[in-house]
Amino acid sequence: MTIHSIHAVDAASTGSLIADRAAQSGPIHGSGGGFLQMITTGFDQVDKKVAQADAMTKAFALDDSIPVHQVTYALEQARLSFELMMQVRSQLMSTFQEFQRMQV
Amino acid sequence: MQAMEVSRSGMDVEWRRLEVISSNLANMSTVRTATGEVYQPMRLLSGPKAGFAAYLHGDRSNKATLSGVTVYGVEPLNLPPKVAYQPGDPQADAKGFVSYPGVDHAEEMTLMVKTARAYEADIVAMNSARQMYMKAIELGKST
Repeated sequence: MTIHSIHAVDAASTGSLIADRAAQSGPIHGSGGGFLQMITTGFDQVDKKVAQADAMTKAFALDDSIPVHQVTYALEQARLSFELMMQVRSQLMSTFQEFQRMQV
Repeated sequence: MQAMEVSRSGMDVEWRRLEVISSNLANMSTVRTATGEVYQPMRLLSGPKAGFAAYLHGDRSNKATLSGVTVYGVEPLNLPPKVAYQPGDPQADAKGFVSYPGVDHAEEMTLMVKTARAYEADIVAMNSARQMYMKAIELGKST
């Protein structure tokens, strides 16, 4: 499975990232570029996996020429990708809420 | 996820192998096939997915060697037919002999059990990889 790998972030680049954000003076939204694009491609890939699993299930229902394990494998792959995506999302949300609670 | 891909390729191959064994057992007494000859028992040939060229030119780390297994083809076994003297049989030749395929029942059954066990082992390996993946996802989970 090739969900876009999340690269390790070292302290220096995190610092510059925070500086960038501060310069933009606003909440995280579309103008970010890199990070948002990474998230979006990740979501797209999960969507593709789910669509593929769906197609496999349909093909299996029509005629059982493909082995069962290929269908269950596709379903499992889709589930795992989805789980990872949800995990990333909840992490992002909790970080965002943390920022919102910040005293100014 | 490489581990799960490898396990899946193994399952594909074992599935195909079982199909070939089933064909051999089903054709135990097929005296005449479409070509007019006696049924020839088959064997599935399998091997690593990465070819020799990939091994020679590519890096010998993960990608080249851990690419799983694939079906090379289905080849007939070179076994002589079992000839039986049955002069009354409608399939008998001029001298009254009927040639049955040289399928070894015990050998096919043994191979079938082996294939089923290999398939199960692939599933166990895949489940293990899946569990590790799930645990890795849980790593960031705030409890």
